[in-house]
Amino acid sequence: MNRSSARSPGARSRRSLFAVLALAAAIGIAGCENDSGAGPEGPSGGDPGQTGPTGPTGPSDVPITLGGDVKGVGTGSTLTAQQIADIGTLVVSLDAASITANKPVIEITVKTSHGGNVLGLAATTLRLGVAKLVPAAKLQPSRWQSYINRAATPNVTTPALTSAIQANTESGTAAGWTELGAGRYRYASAVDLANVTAPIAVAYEPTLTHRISLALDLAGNARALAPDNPYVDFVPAGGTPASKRIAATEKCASCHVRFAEHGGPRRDVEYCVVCHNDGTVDPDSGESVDLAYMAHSIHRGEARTKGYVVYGYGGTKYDFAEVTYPQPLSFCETCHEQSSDAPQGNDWKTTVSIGACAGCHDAGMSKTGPDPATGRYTYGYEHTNTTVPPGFVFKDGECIGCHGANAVDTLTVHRNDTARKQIENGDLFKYEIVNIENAVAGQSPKVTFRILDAAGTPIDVKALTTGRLRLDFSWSSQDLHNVADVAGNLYQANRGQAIVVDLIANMASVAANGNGTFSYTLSTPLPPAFADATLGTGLMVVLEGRRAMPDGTDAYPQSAIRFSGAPRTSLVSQDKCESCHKRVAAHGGSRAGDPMVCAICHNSSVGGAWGADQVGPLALGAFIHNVHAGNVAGVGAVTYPQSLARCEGCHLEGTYNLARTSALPLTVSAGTTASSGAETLAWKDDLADSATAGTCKGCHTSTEAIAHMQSQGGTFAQPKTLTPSSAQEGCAMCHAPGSTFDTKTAHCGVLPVGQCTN
Amino acid sequence: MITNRNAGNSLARALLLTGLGALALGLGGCSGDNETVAQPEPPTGEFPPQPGTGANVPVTTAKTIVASIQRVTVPDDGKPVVEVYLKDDQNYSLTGLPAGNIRFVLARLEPAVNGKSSTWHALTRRVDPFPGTPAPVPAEAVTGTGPASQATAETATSGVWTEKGNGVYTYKFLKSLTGDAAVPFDGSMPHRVGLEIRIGSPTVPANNAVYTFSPATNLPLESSGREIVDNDTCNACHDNLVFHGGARFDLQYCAMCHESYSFDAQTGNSIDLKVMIHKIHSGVNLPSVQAGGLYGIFGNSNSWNDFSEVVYTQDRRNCTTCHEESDTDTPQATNWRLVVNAETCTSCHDDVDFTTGENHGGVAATADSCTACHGPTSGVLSVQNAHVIPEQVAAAKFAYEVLSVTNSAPGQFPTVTIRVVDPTNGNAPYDIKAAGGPFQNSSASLAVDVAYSTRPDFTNTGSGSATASSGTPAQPIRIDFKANGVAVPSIPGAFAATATVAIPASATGSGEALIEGRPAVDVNGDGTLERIAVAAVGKTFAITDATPVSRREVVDIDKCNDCHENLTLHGNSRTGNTELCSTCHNPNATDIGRRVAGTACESVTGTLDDQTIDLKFMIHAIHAGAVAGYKVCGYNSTGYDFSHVEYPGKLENCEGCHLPDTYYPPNSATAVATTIDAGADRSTPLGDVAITAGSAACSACHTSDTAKQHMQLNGGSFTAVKAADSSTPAAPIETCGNCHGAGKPVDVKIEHGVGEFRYNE
Repeated sequence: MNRSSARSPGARSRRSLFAVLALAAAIGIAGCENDSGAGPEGPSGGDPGQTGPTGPTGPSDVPITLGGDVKGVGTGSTLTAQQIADIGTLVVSLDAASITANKPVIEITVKTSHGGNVLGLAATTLRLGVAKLVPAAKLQPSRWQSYINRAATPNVTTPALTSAIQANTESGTAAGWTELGAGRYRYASAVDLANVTAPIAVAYEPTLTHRISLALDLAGNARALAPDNPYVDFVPAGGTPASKRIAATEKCASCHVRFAEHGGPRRDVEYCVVCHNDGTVDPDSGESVDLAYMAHSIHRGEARTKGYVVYGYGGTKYDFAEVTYPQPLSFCETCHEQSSDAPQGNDWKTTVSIGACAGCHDAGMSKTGPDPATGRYTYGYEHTNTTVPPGFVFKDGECIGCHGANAVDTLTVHRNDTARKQIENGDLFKYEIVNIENAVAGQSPKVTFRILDAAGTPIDVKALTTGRLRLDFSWSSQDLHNVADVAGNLYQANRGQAIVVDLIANMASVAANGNGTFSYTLSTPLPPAFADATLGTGLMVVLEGRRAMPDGTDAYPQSAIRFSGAPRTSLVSQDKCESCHKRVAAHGGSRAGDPMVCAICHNSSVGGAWGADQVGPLALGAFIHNVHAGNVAGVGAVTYPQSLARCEGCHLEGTYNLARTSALPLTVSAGTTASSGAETLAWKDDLADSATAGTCKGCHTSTEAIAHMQSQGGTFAQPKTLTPSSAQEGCAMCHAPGSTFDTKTAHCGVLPVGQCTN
Repeated sequence: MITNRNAGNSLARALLLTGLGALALGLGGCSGDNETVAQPEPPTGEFPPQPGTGANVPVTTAKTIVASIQRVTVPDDGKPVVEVYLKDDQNYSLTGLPAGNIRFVLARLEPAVNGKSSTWHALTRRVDPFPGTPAPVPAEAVTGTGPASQATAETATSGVWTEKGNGVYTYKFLKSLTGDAAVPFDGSMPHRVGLEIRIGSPTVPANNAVYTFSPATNLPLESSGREIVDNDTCNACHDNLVFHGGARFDLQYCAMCHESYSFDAQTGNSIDLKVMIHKIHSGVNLPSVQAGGLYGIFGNSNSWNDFSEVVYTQDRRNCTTCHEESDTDTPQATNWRLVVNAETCTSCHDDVDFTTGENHGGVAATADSCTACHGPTSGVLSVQNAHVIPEQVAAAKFAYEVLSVTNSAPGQFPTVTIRVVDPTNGNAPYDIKAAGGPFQNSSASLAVDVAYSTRPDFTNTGSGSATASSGTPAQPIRIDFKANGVAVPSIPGAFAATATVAIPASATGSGEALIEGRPAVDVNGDGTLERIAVAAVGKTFAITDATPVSRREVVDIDKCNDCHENLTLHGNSRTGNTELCSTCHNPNATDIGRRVAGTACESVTGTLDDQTIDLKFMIHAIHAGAVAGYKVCGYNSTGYDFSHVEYPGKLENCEGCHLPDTYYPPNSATAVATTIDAGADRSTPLGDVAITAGSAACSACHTSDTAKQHMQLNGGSFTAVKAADSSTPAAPIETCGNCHGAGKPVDVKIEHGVGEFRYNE
């Protein structure tokens, strides 16, 4: 029985009366049956009709977190921090939309993330977008045209334009706003679609597909509550609407998690495009903010010929010239892939426009305008490659002649990109290590491996002469360190890196087993420290190396990993890396795939100078935190596209509270050791950070944070020891799972709702 | 007017009454419109109200459940229909409790006949198989002979569990009151429905409720006639006692199954409460256990619960510790002395054979004849008189008084004046020097301990209790009144004596003089003298203070005595006063004086290294049992191993012993570091190795390496070295209070969940 809908006082009192009658009758029946003589003696005596005392008064409202309503929300400015936290996010549904007397009318329902009703919401929080979809014409793709526009004036002192047309949204007004109860609202827009004349004339074409979409923009801290943006596409004159949904918001979310643009309320691509279409130009920079052009330009970032710069609210400059897109841009599918949320997700393969192409390929673009009647630019494009004669400027609509489906279509064009080829070629090979033998101190381990081609057929490794092929050896599995002799102060290889064997140079030592597998036996025996009471044992072997393809490009096959015993603990997942990186392939593409590969050299022993740069710890955990926080000079300022506090953006659950208890101090400096020569084998002169502190400081760089880590046993740049840092660091007391300041919950606490995991 | 304490709270009582109102209306309904009968709507709104007066919330979100049974009706088929109300402590009504999370018991109270006790008789029953699976171990505990009948609970999936909405539910039993030939229905007996809400899946808070009623009248009963012990009595020691997966904790519910018809098949032991509870608490003192037997019960999945090593922390003859006649919630608390029968008596006296008269003075007896000799009017053999503890009676005749402390400035030899009086005789004073008197025999003692300073703690430095290599360090100045007391003519009954050691020149602040000692009298006429425990008293005195300042008060002797009844140690000479304890058991004291090679001290503790006897470490460590593994040496180099202590309460309930809010981390101004090694020279704190004060208190329970590491990283030291003034100048400063202080992020009180212990006063 669902009683939740009848919660108003009036309903309650009616029900109460009814219930009394019902109860009375139920008991009455028992009495009647007694009269018939059956069953036990009925109730007698008592004190009929006496009214007992009423119970204590409890809270009449269901808590927000249990689905209770939020009353008197207004603009949200009076909501308490606790209420905002409890609400989490608003959830708005667009229940109905119509054009009545040429004016849009909508009905929405606003709930909390727990299903409670949002009551008393102020009209002024509404941001309503209304646009029509102008169909494809003149070999140019369809485009959105907003009915609501403004003539924007510039903010900078030397603007590109004195004014520019921009699509806009209507702010809700009290006159059109009606609260219907139970979180439902009706809004009757003041926009008369049949009479849009300023700043540009927009004809009302009721036979076209129209879109009504909205955002809710609360005030103050409550802006964080902004819901996802609902929209509806429909044809006012009736009929099936056309669709132009080419990129799903979910695709953005794989790196950006959840957009909160323009201060928070604008989250969804299908809402963005109501304004971010080619009818909107930034007067300060003169740049179009058409989403196709803008999104491509932003992500092209530092690779663009001319950095993309626009000016936002209040003249704030947004310079995207330093954006570091973490995969080849030629993987158009990363954003554009057909799905139920993006039915036109594959249109990019057959639809071409200068505005879209020139976001990335900006060097050849030219533009005239914007046309004061439409607010839109007219584009031209001059190819800068050799296949098209120079000076030949194409107009929009002409592109499809060559880039349509029948010629050099856009998919083919992008698959020719070298960076994309390296990754796609990599999938033509499968590296496998099938066995490790003699992984014992004092013995020479033997590794058996094979390489399969795209058909799954083993290739003849002995015949390989190009590209690279290497076997890497490291130990021990509990925490890779490559110490050869503890007391003797020796790393096995320079600075504690893996033993790297170039198989192509040592092909004579590679034995063909006749079954498609090949074996290699390490020329030197494993040292005493391979099996150490403190450091543990266990060999890790990696087979890695890029292949050279007949067409002169490279292939970046995924490296193969094998452990002689229990593997090193996985803390991150390849899938999570690849949600932004497509494929991680470093060091000339030779070391690719599972990030565990990296750990073979990026171990606790390796750190300090790397080339010209002082990079501190190169141990994988600390190094990757530093890279993504933008701390590594040689990597540069990374524009990480989500909160660094979202640990599970990269990590597996339960892996990031603390460093592993076996983790050794992280070398941050090779000490007095020179960059080459025998001294690089010494470990005792290294300086190291304790494992947890050395990793946390990648993001927590403040002096207060550093002091806290030091006061709790963390050390920085102290003489290296081979004792696991957990023996000195007291982090676990408070930051272990379930503890008072559990790393997970502490980081989640600073994240917007829904971003804590995955 | 009918009231029903069974419902457990005043709201439930209110609801019951309104329910009766509805009942009355129902009777009227016979002549009215029966159309509404087809709408079995639950009672909601004001009359009767919802279980909670607040809104509905899912039961899975509740932090607590307050269940109540509002009514039980018995339809023709005899299967009772139970109306259950669920709310939480905020008065929200709780919805969505699945049948799998709740169980019901149906029982009736069999009247007392033939001298036996009245007893609950569960109608919901099962057979406990023998030997059952897995096989019971240890084999020597398996003394059963065959399957046994046991009371059980009916999971609500058995009958018909119906959610009516708004926190109202009904349950129709599978078990019928009628049709059981073995237990013919008798509506004149009080019947009871009990329920348990199990944590289970989904996870919800546990709760119990009972409802006692008469099938004959279909009306609730104010009392079943068998309410003997109250929950708060158990929880005075046991802190939120729960059993059976956390689901059973209300004694009135426990009693429904733990009745005299239920046995553990594996041992054959009765699980009747009156038998089982007496035997459990008798533990090592059970005659059968003393004779080498085991006492225990095989529980769920034949898990062995061995109670043979239970040490009850007071004299078992304190029947009124549990049977509290002044508690109006337990009208039958008098049963312990009024109802006498073999089942009850042999629960402690389990070596008595009434058939042969063995251990019964050779007198054979039948079950219905006990009251002839032991009834309430049977004189010295009445249960009440037989359990009188003569030493307790004798102790009432003594009270100590410290009348004055003079000459207490630094360098002076303090003189203390005391008096011992008889409160049962108009406070007539004793002549403590009288030959043949209670203080002048070889078993008696009477002394005053002069301890200093009250701030930050007693250390008694300079008292001369130890030389460099002998004696116990840091003990107070002792004035022996048994030998040296001199009558003070001006004050009737008063005696004075002067210390032979002066208050040291370095002493500051205030001190305290406390009487310890024991009169010895023959309380039972057996010709030997019994040592009588008389509560210590003290008087603070100024050393350099303008007016005396007392030592900090952090524990309450009444809380000690919740479990210990009358805490007395050292041969009954130190009694009922934790301040007295703290004068000797101070931060500078260790048991080094008892560490003698070749003694039991060495064999029990395995070392001749000294152990701290500082109260703030020792008391935590003793009660933490195996966690702390505290071993210490006492009088005559006896070794004591407290690692077997099983604390009956919850260690995290700080207020089980402490006064409210007195257990926050100390600092150097409020406490002294705890010496763990008295060093090369016992006569001075100089060079002692110590644990800083906060770490000492915490590390007794928090013994993990991680915890110790945490303390060390935050200013705690386990190797601090003391200066002559007992400070640890080279040790870091403990910063515990920064995080663990009151109102701080990891507030000790909140972190220990002290507020969750609802039986704390």
